Amino acid sequence: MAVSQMKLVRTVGFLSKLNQFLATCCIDGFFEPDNAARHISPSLGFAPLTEDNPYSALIHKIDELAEISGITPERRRVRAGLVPDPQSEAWLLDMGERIASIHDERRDLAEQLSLCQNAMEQYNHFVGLDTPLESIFSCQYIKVRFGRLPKESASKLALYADNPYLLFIPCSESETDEYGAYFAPRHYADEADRIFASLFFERLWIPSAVGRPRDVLAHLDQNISILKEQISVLDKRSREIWNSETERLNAMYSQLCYLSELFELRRYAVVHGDSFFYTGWVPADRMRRFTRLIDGMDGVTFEAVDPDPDVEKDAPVRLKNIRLFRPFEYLVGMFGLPSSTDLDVTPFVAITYTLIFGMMFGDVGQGFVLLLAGLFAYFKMRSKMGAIIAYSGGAAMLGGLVYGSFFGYENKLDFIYHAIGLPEKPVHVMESINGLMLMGLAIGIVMVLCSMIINVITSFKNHRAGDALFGPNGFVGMVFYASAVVFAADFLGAPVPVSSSLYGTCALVSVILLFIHPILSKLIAKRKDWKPKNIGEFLMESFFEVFEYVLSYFSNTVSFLRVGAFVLVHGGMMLAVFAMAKDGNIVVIVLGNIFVIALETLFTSIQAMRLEFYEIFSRCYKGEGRAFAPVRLK
Amino acid sequence: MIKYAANALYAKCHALFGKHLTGTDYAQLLACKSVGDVAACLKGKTVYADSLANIHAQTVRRQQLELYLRSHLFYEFAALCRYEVSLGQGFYRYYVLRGEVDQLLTCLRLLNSEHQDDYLLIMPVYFQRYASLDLFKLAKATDAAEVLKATQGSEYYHILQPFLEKNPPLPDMGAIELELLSFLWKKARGMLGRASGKDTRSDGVRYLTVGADMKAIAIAYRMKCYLRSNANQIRAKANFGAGRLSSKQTEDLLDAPTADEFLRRLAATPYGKELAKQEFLYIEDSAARVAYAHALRTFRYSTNAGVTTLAYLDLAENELKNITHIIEGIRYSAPPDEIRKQLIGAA
Repeated sequence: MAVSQMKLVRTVGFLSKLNQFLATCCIDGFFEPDNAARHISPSLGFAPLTEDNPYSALIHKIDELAEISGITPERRRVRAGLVPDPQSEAWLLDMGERIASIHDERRDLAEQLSLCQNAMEQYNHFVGLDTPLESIFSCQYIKVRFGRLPKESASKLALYADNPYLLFIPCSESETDEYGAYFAPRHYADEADRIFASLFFERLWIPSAVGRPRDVLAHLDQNISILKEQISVLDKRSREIWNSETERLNAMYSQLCYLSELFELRRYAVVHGDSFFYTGWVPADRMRRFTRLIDGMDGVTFEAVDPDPDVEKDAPVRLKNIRLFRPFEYLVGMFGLPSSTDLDVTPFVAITYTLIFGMMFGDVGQGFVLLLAGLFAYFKMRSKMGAIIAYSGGAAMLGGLVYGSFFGYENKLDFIYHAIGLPEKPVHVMESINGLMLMGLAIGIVMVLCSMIINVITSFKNHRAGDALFGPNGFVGMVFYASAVVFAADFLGAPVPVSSSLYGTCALVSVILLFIHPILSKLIAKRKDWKPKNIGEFLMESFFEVFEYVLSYFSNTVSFLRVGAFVLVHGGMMLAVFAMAKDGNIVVIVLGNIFVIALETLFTSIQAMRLEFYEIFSRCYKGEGRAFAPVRLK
Repeated sequence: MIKYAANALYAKCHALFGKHLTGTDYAQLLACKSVGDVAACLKGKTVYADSLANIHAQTVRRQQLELYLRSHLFYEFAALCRYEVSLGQGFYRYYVLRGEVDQLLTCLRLLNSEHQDDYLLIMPVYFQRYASLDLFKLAKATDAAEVLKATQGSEYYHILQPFLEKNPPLPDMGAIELELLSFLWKKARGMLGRASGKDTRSDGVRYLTVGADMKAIAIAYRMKCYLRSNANQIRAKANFGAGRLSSKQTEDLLDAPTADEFLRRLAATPYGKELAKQEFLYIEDSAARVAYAHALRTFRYSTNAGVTTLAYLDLAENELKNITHIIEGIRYSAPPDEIRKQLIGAA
């Protein structure tokens, strides 16, 4: 139940063996390469490897061909060690040329198709013109202009009815425009153009053609059909070529992708002459296997060391928990993984999250439904949350046993209590409001103290003794917090195990220590700058900081009241369901239960997560680690 | 019922105003390089998108775009008038009258400048359906007598008859404008007089007086500045009786010996405070800004639906003018900063 220890592997070898080394150690997925330049002194003369990937052009070529043919190349498992031979490359280029020529021909046809379609769109507007176009275009003394006129302007044409030199023939209309042509004598053309321009006439250039517009349209339609047929033939040919060589192409593609990925791993290396230096991380428990793989390799030697403290904190992290707690790594990962020097809080989260959820949800029947749902999600849908839901369901069943709740029925489990000698269920939810709130508070106090303990351990692990001892989440903070809790309990009349003078003294001393903890921490770390530069500023800052600590203790503790509150919410919701069901309408009860399960699962899990991430983690956990990301070459 | 309709109108006006162009929209319009870009910008994301949906942004002409925008405003207001019960049909009629007076003045101005053919190009065909004038006849008119003949049968015939029946080559635009605006003012007062609700009547009159004053002040200043006119000459052209300046204030202004003195005395009037807030470019601009500020204030704080609607109409017209300035500025390659100076309420 910890962060898996990582070993830094430093490898030296002949450059010619680099590919073999990488192919060997990256097969099983427990090696994460790291930038070698960070782990070697620049004075030794090693420089990063800068090479162009020779495989990417070929991969790109295959992708292009696949795109042209409308096919997706497949990646399959390859045999390590193979490299593409010149014959395969030549074959690929030849195939590329064949497909490319089909593609070029297709492109030309597509262009022609587009032209025909545009022309068709243009001529459609003038289909009302029942005159051969060649006779219009060949007029010597009349100018013609095809185009469209806004309908508003078209109505103004009536004012030019007296003008003998203007003639507008409307051919068709759309919602806003009238399409047509205007004719004017050659000597009046400029004036006509001016008049129509001022009426917002937009000229359209139609391609020249022979025949009436509707004949032209028929001809274009025919052309379009022929072109479409030709394009479809070419598409079929291109697919046939691809299909006939699929196996070979896919194999080549897979091989090239593998080699390209292997090549990309080389950039982590540094080289000097014909030697390389390579570094990476391997989990300590996998070192034996790693050693077995690399030991037999000629021209390559390595050593596995524990990283230096300044490198260690950047080491990748792999959590190692027992199977019971492993599902909660997903929750912890949501916040952030611990760094390699931090404690893994997964077991703590597993226990506390489940406990809190179980308390807030508390119903045997509904918990059972959640359990089943979680198991289904985990085993059938392979969902990581499934296991967490299942645990939560189980905890909810236990909570339900305490509250005596079974699908909202409060008395159905009485036989169990009688069987174990109890007169009735231990907790009546709606009659124990104060008790539930106090329970929530008690949980909060325990959680806050636990988080402080975790912080102390982590601080010591990270050689921050000052924080561990005198910090607000350290030992002194714990003493102050405990004193404050005892004081509050005493104030409310609860029996306390210590005298008021004792807890009073502890509180006072701890506040003073908190106040000066920056100085004390620096003294412990043997720093020479422990004295504050400005006493007044220090006092002011410390005062507000202590005030903030006290406030945060209070707010974090009180936040756990929601545990009790949600117990009541759950109980209240089921009361409402039964109130609506009146005489025990089973449909309403079932639907109500479904609704409450869905809603309460959502709310309760969010609240439990909030308590974990905010109230607990803010005291003891940063989550600044980075996940171990080993390379696995297919 | 009446109350609900008024509330609906009030809410509708405010909802429409909320969709007006913002400072960001104006900045985007000013960054456009061509009329097509402006059309595309307006078509894309503004309240004019529906009206401009069918235009071809890259080929649309400046005047065509302006016509489309005008028609948008007209139809929007016609739709609003359906809700307006407190002012009755008179409110709708007043809006149409404003449009008709505007068309008559435009036609006469173009006739005066010997560009009568241009009227056909800018004539709003959509308005013909609602107007009592035959706009096509106006467009065909080539002289003053034909313009007068085009107004036969309408209320404008008797107003224009003294000025146009002798077919003068250059009709007296100042006097004609004064008569037509006085006619409009009387109609407005009549409409407000028939309105149900004392508040509507008094608030409406109070609202309209500012607009009337601004027009009169602009005319008076121009006459002082360029024609060195005396008080009587100015009174013949500018209608000061409709406004809220007292007779003493009016006399004071009209007796100013120079244009600068006129402005100094204007600063002492109720409009002085508003005028002091702005940089003086030219009198029409200042007058328009004062009118805009008054419209905006009325729109924001009035609880009377009819008056709010009147104010909204002026604000919408102002926005249209702003867009027109932008279109024309871009069309004639004016720098954006220069165009921005012309805009009112575009911050």
